[in-house]
Amino acid sequence: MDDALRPMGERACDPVDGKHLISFSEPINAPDYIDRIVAALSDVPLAHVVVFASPEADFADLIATLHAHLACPVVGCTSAGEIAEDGFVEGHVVVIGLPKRWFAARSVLIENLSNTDLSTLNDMLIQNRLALTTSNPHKTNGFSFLMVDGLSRCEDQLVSAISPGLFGFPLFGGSAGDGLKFQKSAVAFEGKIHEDAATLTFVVTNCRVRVFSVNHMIPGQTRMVVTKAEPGQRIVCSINDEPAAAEYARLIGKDPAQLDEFIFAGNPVTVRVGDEFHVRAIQRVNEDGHLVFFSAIDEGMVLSVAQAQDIAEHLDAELSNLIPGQSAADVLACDCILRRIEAQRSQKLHHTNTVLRKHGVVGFSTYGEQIGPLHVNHTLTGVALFPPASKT
Amino acid sequence: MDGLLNPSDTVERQRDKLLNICTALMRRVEQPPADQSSAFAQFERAALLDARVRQRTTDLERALDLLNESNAELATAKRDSEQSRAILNEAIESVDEGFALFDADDRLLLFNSRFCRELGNVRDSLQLGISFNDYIDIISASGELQFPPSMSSHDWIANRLDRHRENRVVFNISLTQNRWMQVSEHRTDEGSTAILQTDISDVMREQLRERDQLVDNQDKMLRATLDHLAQGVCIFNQNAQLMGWNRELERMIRVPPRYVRVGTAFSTLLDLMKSNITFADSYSSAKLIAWSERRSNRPPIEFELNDIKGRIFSVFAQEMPDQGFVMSFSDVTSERISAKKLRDLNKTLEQRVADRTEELGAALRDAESANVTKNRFVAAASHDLLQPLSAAKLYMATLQDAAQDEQLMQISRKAEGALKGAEDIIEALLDISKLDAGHATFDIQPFSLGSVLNSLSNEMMPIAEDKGLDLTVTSSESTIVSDPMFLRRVLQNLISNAIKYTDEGAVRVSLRDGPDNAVTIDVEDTGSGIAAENRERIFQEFARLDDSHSGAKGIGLGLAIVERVCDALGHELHLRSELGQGSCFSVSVALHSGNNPNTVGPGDIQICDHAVVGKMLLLVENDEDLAHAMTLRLERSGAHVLHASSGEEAIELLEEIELLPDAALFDYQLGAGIDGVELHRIVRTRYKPVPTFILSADRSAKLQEQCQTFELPLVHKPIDIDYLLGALDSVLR
Repeated sequence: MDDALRPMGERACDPVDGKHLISFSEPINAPDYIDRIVAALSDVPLAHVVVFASPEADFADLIATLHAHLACPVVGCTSAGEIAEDGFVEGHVVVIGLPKRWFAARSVLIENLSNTDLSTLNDMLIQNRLALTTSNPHKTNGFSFLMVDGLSRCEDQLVSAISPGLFGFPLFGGSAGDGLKFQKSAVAFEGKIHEDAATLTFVVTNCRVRVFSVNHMIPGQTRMVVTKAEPGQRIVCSINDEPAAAEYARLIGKDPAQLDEFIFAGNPVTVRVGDEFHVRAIQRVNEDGHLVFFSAIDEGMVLSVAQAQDIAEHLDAELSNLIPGQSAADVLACDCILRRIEAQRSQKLHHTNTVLRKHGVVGFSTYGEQIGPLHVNHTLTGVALFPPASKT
Repeated sequence: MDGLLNPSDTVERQRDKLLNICTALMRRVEQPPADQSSAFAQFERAALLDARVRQRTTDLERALDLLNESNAELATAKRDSEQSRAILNEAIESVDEGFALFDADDRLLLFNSRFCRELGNVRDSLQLGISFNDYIDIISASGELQFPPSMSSHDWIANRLDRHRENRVVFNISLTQNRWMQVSEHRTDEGSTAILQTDISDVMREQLRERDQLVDNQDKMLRATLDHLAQGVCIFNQNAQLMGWNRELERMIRVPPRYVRVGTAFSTLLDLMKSNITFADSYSSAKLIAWSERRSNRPPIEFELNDIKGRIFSVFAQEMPDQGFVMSFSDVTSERISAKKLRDLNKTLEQRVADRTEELGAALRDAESANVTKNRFVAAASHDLLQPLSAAKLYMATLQDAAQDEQLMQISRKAEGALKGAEDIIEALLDISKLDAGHATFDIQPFSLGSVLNSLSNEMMPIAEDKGLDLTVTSSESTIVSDPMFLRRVLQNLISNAIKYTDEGAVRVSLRDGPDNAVTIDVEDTGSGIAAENRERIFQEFARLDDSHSGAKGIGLGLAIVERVCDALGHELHLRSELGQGSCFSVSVALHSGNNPNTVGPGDIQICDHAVVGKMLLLVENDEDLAHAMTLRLERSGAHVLHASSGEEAIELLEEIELLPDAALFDYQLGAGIDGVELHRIVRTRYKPVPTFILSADRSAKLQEQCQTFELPLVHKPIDIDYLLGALDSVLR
């Protein structure tokens, strides 16, 4: 297309280094970081903005300022860590802008997760989805992006309930975190921050889209049965008729008193559903010697201790094969905090950062991930964007 | 199950643990569906569902791909079909005729713009899919068809549907306002029917015009043709009324012209003609009227009329296809006259032929008898000549015996030789004449060839030696079938000639086998040979090759005789010769196949010294066989025999030859004419008495008396030849 004829704004949206997303990060220790963020986002006409904020940041202030200065909607959440241009970082705000040239987006807020009848959401979701698609007939690919309060413990029900309404918009997402403190996490919508809530963003684009999840665990031989539990709290009370933490420690050959996030990260347990194995991640040991999980558990569940493959190699292989022979222009990822901890523990962090850089991954570390209708742990879920099928 | 149980536990503790584990598991397995609102249950469901959905999605995508593919193919096929259809429609539009296609179920599939265009508003009712029957109904109800007077529209429809059943049919349909349409139907292999409509109004009109014209022309031609005929022709219709005629008829039948017009009844015409004509044969006017009044199935008739002017008519009448009849009159007068003339001429001719034949017969008989006469004369003359010759020879022999003088002896020998030569010639002439006339009687019998050869060898050897030639004659054990005397003569002639024409060298007579059941006798010489151009000549009478040989040895009759004898006996005669080298004459004779060879040699013939030798006998015998046998026998004995079958014949003979036989043998019963005794009396009276014997089977006393009266010896039949010879002996000495 003749350069001279295209509107100036559009020209400025030509993919830079093949990238379609505007993505950058700002350390929060810089006093004017919010202004810098605003400035960086003003050049290009944007359809939507997504922010992942370190729990140290003033999330409310950030969100309110952005809402006031930007024409486009802003959604965001607190994180357990960030993934920026250099890989894993902390104390940053990662900003993602979706240029209008390739993207159109629409976000909805789902409040009061604990008390809402989630099954009634679908109508609203479908209407929003259809409104987006009918007003953007040329952006033929789509995905939906979920950010949910990680401390709500409602993720399973939420994704389960909303997945019927997401036709044509494969879902991925992450649970907002609070570093490693597990105390306060929130999502942001229309200039305000919300707890016990979730934002769902529908995106249409003419880029080619692959929604994916990466899980490098292989189930082992060691099995255990959950003999007592409090499913509502995601607490496993006893395993093999023994106190959960102690039995877990015994089974993995560790001292029950030494159980920490590193041990949990390195010795995850999986549950078999159908032909597949899903990781059930352990958050902590509570004062009763019970194990608190990051995801749904139930009595009578059979868990098997999993073994990890090389996290970096595995991630590299998976990202390279999303579309065989092609590499993604942009990858937006929700990476489980436990993976990061595990990478650290197994001295694979540097290698992992290299892989993340290589594939242009941006995102945040989560307390849990969503993929399709499932809430999972110890997984990296995301969307990879490829150049549009035909050049316009 | 690694580590499921803590080894440090007691067995009981382990057991309790296991129980609790089992309980937990069982509870989980049996979890009722209503209770499955828990997060994990939802998770499980979602996970399972998701897995299934993913599988289904893959399947669906595959199905969708297939569907898209087949849709694409369908679209292509549809396009092709549309295109084909468009092409077809274009094609049938380009056809000059109206075209329609009915499918195998007789439903209208397509038609072009010309189809049924002439048929008013039929086209408005034509729709794709209508049945053939509906189509026909529409057409028949259209008011455009011109039905023949006898046909209703129902009939037409039935007829039309009938035609439709055929695979190929072409027919014309008559439309109103003098229009015509030709319809052709063609059934295809898979049962569809293609219909073509062609407007042929112009063609039809033209044809009708031409037909009218033709009818006119035909009338004219008919008239001209009739007038051209030499016959008189008239044509009557079924009711025997005159419809047509020609000029010639008017002239022939001489009926007042006012009656010769269309419509006149046949009977009227016949009445008017009656006074002028008569029926030949058995025909009559009543018959003719009856014939004409038959309305149909008249057989063709033919008869003749004569009119008063003498003319003859041949009349031929025949029924015509429309039950009328035609009559033709042919004037055959001149033909009849010519025929009669021809018959008369024929008769005259036959008469003349008969006359000529008679004359010819007479002439022939004259010639025959002349021939007979000649031969007899020759025989008699020869005989007459021979007598003095033999006397002369005797005298000469006597002279030789008596002569003492050598010179005289030589002269007398020469004279004897000359006489012998003359005798030979005369004998030869006699033989030739007998041979020529076919009168030579051959005595064919088996005999020894060897004895003939021996005899000839003995006879000819001296002559050969005289000339200094070497003569070898082979001997033979063979028995051959021939006439011994004549064969001897033939061989004698050949050897004699050989010796005569050979100056030095040899003459050899040898035998070889063949051809067939025969033996060939070769007479070879080393003489001067015979040139090809002379071969024919040497066989002619009096022809000789070498004049230097004249005088002494005869005048060349020998080969003429040889040829005739061989021809008569059926012996093949061949000549091989080369000038300067010699000749070889070959005679082939049949071998005797029987086993009883007659060893009678020819020597027997001549040994007798009957007095009949050299004498001439007149035998008058009407029994041919007996006459033949007697002649043979007598001639074998050396006599010359003249034969007559009746007394009258004998008298004639004697008159002709003007000689008298030395003796006469008369059969008594000579048929219708004079008998033997009477004959003797006539001879005696007219000429002079000749020694006569009467031969008869009659042993009656009457004959004996008669014979005694006339002093005629009577020899009874069956004849004993020896006795006869003996009797002749005594008479002739």
